[in-house]
Amino acid sequence: MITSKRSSIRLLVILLVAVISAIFLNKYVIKKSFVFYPKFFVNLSSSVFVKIENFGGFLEKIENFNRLASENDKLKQDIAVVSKLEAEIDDLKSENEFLRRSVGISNKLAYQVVYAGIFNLNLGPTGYNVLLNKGSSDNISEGDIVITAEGEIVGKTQKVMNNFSRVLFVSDPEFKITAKVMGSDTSGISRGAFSEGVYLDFVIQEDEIKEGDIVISTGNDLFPPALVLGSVDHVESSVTQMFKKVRIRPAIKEIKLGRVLVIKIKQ
Amino acid sequence: MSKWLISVLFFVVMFFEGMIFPSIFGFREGFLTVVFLVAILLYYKVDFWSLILGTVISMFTEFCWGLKFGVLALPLLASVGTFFLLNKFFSIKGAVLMTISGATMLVVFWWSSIFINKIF
Repeated sequence: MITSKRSSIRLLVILLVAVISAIFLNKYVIKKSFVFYPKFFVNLSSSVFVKIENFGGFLEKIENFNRLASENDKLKQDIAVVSKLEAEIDDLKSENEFLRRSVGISNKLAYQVVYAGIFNLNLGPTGYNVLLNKGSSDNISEGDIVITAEGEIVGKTQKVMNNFSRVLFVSDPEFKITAKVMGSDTSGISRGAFSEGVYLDFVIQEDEIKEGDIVISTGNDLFPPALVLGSVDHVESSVTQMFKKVRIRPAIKEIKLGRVLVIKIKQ
Repeated sequence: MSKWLISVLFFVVMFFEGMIFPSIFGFREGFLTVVFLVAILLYYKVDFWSLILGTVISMFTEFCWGLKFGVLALPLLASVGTFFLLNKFFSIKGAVLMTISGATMLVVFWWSSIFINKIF
């Protein structure tokens, strides 16, 4: 028993030395050029993820058939309202373009967009590990913004390998973005809080914010403006504190993640 | 349980946690894979083969998740060191003590991983 324990401790020391040597070898000799995932595996995983997600959605739809029917009626009514709004937006767009031309302001930056797919989600000690099926061979670079087709923020690329990338999830504590409440001047800096969602910091007590408010990106940092971050989940006010405690429920909690868009910040 | 079976089981856990659970049930968080790594070591009471197996599959996981090299393997070895240290002072035999030492290993694993990720 004692001999076995001693041999385990000896092995532990050997493994420690081996792993540390391998880390330095990887960092300074191989220079992180080792790529693990074969391309076909990434593509296969991505399509499997989407198929399973669609299947999961299908089961959910069967369960909620009655709810969907009533929602459908409501949506039909909403479409009429949206169509009217679209017409108004179209009019405002042309007016905006005309005014910009008039005062010599350049048009909003047009970012290049790449279609991609998420194929793995994991919570590791170093944060969320969300893997994307596009890498440096598809012109993805670190810091690119990942969003859904509906304009909801998923995260940003943190590490880019040859054929896949790791995305820093919106709920990761390292993820920070300047955000504001839609239709209001209330703004702050959002930061991820793992399973708690996202917190909006630096919202002073005088600022108006209530549960259910939609929070969007301001565009005052590297993120494009008007991307949906989520909705206000909980607001805590205290006269003894300078700032309100605002918790946001990320929009990505409710939606499918199989297909996403990558906004290329570095053109 | 055979080492091959555990390796296969580990990949199944990884597959389910990373792909099946998020895509079907919409789970966005869970750390089954990391718990499984520590559980392997505890199950074999950190013997020769479980140490090698644990190190190899944690390195494999690093590649799969695109993590920095050593960010899982080193913390795993650190948690093993904690296990030996606990064994030196306590006789870890009962289920309760085993659970406590497992939880301690998990905490050491988690925080040392964050620390190593920051320094490399």
